[in-house]
Amino acid sequence: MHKHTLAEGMLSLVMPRSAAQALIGDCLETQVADRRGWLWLKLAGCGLSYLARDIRDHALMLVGLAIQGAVVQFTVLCGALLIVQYLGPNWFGWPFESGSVSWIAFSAVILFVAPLVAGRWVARRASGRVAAACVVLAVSAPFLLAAFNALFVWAIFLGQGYEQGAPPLWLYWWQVGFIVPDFLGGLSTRPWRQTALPRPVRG
Amino acid sequence: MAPRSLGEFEQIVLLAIFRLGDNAYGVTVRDELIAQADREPSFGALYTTISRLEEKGLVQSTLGDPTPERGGRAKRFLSLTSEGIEAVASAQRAYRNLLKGVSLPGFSHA
Repeated sequence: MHKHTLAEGMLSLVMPRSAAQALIGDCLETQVADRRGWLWLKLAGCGLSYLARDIRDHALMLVGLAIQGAVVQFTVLCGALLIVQYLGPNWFGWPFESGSVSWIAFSAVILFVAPLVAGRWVARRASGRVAAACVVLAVSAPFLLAAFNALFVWAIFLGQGYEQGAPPLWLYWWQVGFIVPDFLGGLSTRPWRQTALPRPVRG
Repeated sequence: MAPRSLGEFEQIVLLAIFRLGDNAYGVTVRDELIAQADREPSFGALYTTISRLEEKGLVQSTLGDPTPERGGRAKRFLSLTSEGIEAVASAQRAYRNLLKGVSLPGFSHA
């Protein structure tokens, strides 16, 4: 892939593609010859500025999207858990134990598929602020998932009348890694409301 | 409707766009800020400000034709909307009113 096309793709996570193209054009126009990495440094600075501005200016919207994304992620996890832990063993005879196919598939869902689906969900509704939405989702999803899990488990325990202690929170450091599939989900999705290219009117 | 409040950097960006007329786009606006306002903003700061001004409805943009020195990418020409002109005029009126009857060292009234 040509480096400018790659740069365009990355910048279009924080701004409309037409703006990203014009920005790269401006950087190329003012590029200092023989300075390696200059363009990438400039573009990274612009990308981070846009990201920070989006998070600052649209914090409430992004948190709302993150909650939606976490609900989607939790729903996918619950669906997968239902399949591998109940339907699989009882209906199809698939064992759910460490190293089994079901276990590997469930691990893949936890680590990759669920955050990917959540990333796509959020990106489609981010009004072109895909990167900001994915960052907020990735940062908040582990906490939200832990809270949903606690509520879910508690509700089950209370419903069954058990005298249990605090339910597990499922909050682990490696959940920070959700940012990768979150972003892949965002990258693989066209923004819901990408600004249309203005018509060329002047030379 | 109450006039929109503008930050200091937003005002000088709006004035630079206004001064440049038909030739206002990212590079020329930045050059104008360097030449006239003695400010050298980073591309990130300038573009996020322009983007915010567009969201406020004070600036509009149109794409020009692609040119080879820009890697085949079009210029995004900027112009003030009527709300943008009113906002910057309102801010300048406020400055002028506040300066009436006082003298600032190194500043002469036009």
